[in-house]
Amino acid sequence: MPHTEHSDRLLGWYRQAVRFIIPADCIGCGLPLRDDPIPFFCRRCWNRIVPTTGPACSRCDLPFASPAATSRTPDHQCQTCLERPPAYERAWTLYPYLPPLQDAICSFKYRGKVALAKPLAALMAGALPAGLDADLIVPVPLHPARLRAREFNQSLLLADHLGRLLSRPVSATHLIRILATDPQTTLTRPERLRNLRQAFGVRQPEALAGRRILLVDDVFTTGATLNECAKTLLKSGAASVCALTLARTMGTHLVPDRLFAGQAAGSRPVPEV
Amino acid sequence: MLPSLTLAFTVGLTAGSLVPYYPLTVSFILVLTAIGGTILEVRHPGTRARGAAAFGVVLIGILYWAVAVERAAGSPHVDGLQGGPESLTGRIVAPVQQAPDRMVLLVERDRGPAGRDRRLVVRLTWRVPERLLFQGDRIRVRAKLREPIGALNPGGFDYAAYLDRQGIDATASVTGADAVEFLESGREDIRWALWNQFDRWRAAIRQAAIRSLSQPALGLYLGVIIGERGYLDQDLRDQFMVTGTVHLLSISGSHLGLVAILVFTAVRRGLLLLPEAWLLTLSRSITPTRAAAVATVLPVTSYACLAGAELATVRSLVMLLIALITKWMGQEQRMFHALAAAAMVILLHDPQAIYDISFQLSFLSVCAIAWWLAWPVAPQEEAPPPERSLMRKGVQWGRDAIVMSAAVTLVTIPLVAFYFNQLPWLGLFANVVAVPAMGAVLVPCGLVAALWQSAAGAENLPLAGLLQWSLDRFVEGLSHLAGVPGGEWHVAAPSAVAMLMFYGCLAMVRFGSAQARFRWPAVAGVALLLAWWTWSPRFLPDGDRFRVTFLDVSQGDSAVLELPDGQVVLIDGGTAYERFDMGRGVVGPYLWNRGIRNIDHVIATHPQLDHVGGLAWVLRHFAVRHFWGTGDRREEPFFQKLQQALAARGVTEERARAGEDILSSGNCRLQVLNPADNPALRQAAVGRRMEGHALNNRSIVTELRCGVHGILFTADVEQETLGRMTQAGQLKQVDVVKVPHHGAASSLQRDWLKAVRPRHAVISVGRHNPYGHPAAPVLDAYTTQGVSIHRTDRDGGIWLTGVSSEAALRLHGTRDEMAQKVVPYSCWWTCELSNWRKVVHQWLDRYY
Repeated sequence: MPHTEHSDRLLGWYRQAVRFIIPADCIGCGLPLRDDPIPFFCRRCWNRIVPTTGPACSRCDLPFASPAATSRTPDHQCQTCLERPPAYERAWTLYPYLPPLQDAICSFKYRGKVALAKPLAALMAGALPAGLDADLIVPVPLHPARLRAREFNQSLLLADHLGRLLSRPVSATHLIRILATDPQTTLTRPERLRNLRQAFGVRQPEALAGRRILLVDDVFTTGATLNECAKTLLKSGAASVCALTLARTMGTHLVPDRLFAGQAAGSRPVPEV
Repeated sequence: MLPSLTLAFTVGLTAGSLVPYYPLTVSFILVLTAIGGTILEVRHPGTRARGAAAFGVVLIGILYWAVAVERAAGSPHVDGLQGGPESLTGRIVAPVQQAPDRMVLLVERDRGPAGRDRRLVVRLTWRVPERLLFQGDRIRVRAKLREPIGALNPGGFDYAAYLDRQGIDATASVTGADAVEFLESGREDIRWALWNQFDRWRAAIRQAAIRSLSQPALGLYLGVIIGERGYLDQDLRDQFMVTGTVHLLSISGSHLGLVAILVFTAVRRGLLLLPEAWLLTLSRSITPTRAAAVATVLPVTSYACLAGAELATVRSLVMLLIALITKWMGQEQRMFHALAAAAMVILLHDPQAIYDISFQLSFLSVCAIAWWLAWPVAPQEEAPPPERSLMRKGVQWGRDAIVMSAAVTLVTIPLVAFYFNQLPWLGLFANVVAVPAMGAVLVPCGLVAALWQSAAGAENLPLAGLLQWSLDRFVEGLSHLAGVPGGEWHVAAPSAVAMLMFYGCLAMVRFGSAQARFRWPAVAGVALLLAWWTWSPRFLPDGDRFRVTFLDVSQGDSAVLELPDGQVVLIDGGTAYERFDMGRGVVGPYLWNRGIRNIDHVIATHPQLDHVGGLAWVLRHFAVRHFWGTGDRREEPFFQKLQQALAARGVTEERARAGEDILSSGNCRLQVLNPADNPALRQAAVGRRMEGHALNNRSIVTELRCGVHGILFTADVEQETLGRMTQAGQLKQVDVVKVPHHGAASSLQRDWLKAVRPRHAVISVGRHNPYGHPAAPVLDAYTTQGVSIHRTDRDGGIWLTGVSSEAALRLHGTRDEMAQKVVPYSCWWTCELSNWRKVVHQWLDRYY
């Protein structure tokens, strides 16, 4: 549409003008930003963020190393899910947790760059799975002490944008964190699983009764947080719980090769001529 | 990109301001730069876009100056400006400046119904005002409009040009209760209501402060809280100057930054203390940091407006607003970009700001701070461990503060030396203490008191006791520090070439850091220049050359004699009013610029304000060996001040008597011709009615003989004494005479004039003086005799240079030595060449 193109160009000029006075460098490659639409990232780096594709666990979305894994049995599950089935029905972990997405999430979460919430939520919306069906979006909560330190709940900001994009209500107050646990990122896998026991609670459970809930978080590492949240929600009468995260940490052997190829090409940014 | 473009724009504006004087040179340099740039770009293709952009911006700067400054200044001054009193109706367009018993208003004349009159801004001084006026009010006043004038001296501060840059077309002053008629409040005009309100708040704070505080705390309080310096004692200002802390008196970074930090922290902390549910709801739309950034905008902007929005204030405000936007966006702070943006805002609004002292000082200091903050840290220096002892932290902080203070002091040295003839080295240490004391204690307390007063509408200032005490302590500390021996170090104003070299070397230290072979010579260059400026030697004494300068001290007398053997004689020191002391404003700077710190003889020709008013200040700031007077006493305060200064410096007055030599060395001799010991005149001095004439007639007349040259200094003697001197037959022919009594008719004695047969006559007189000096018959008499007349009111300071062994004597006027605008088409080349000659001559003259 010519109108959109026109306003895009105007916006591009506006961004360029602002960055003329208050310059910013791309967090990914360090080159100065121009009319790039995403704050803190140039187009080139942002476009390097691509979703995980290929065979994956039908429960927790863990990518399988071999493409043959799901050729016969499409709902093949990973060993962990088979041994200890998670409380959620299904998890989608959309992107591999690698730079530049990793940088983006860290800047967003730890360096207060809240302007990234919208583009990150747009990334999630751009890779939504077909089978997603929920009538309430619930972000993973932060403990009040953590909220005061960080000033915002990154999952809530993502959920808010997602709710707007999907036209689904977002509940920020029903699922709450009652224990101030150590940050999961500082712990090993067994500790993570133990750390969260009884950490969550539900306020006004009647509001959740019979709802199909979509849990939203930023990063899926072991799934312990989501599992614990799902357990709590189900206990309070939710009909079903699915989980959606922006990124997933994964061993390098699980990352599709083409992503690495893209990274290798992108690691030495070529200046635009 | 922005900082370099701003620099290019500034260069363009500077070039633009030079175009009217040196059009060919500027064009030549531009063409040369273009050719050089093209060659460079061919060799290094990567630089093309940036080089072209910078060059383009330089050209834009030149054009901008031409359009915004030259075109506006093109039209001649207002019709009938020198006429009698006229009625002026207009609006006050700037914050009203208050001082004890006077207020200064900038009034813009109403343009008439069709807007046909051109814009006319008058600086109106109202002495002993009966009511408060505020910005935006409309008034009517009957006053004589004068074109702006000020003392014009070689190397001196050109007050008239300064007023012109402020857009002031005329000055006027009125006295008394009914002098100004109030027509309409600024509140009633929507465009002025806000400014009017700010001025009212300022006035309320001022009134409360006047009721609750006493001097010197009052002046300091008004200076540092609402940026009003009218109540500040001049000596206290000097102490700020000496200790290098004068920047604290302008509301700028340290004040606005403090307000910003306080508001920002308070709002952010306050929001984080909200109940969790509220905080969560709030954070969904705006984080506390962003909310705090938004909330800070209004208080900071209001404070900047309350402080009168001066240049340095606006600079800090723009930088702070950019910092807040950056905070909102969550981006990294870029100080140079914020600084450049602030400079652009100010320069686009008023290109002439590049010649404003506070613009230059403010931007250079912040540049130095940004420069220091961006100094590349050596990579081997590992990050300090997170937990350090309080002691270590304190030491680190102190070190950082001293380095920062040193960086600012170093970078601003040439400018401070140029404008104020000082090397404020004490600032290195003073700022480390004064800035935190001011920023952490005085300003916060003062602001809280002001805010409280405004909110409650209280009569008195809250916390007055605490403020009085702490401000007094601050002043005490300051004066102790200012009294450190050698703390007040005066130097000659550096030349433009030396200043450019200094900044060039500094830039090489900073940017040539990769190559040590550039760096060390640059450091050596900086050190050498500093040493040279600190020394500020005299060049004249070579045993043969002498120089006599008649300074333009408005209505009054002052002459400086520099003799071949290096001795310096000062005859009179001009007048001194409460706000303007010619000693401080004219005589002192001239002497420093000549490298003079000791005066061998000071001659106070007779105790009248226009002759000795400025001497008290001179005595306090220069080492004086001999002080000559007539022995007459006066009861007035100016005379008491002079006596106190003499006593403080341990100098005793020596009586000059006709026939004595004040000095005699080599082939130069300064001889006293008057007063002769005449009991009759002494008796007359007792009679009150005759006092003025008697004092004049008893004033010290001296004659300087250097080889074949003779110069006669006649002070204020009148016909009576002139006649006596003529009859005594002691008069010889002289080359130059200082016309007695500023050219008054009572001092015209044709016989005397015939006896001395001068070739040149110098009239030391102020423009528009109320006595009508110089009188037309006097001018006629001299002209008839074939004497060429030089007047300080027209020519500015007049100086003559000669060699005692040669007959040639050269006479120069300051105004003639100033570059003139080139007349297009008719004299491109000759006019520009003459301007260059003047530049070279001015430069050589420093060393003569």
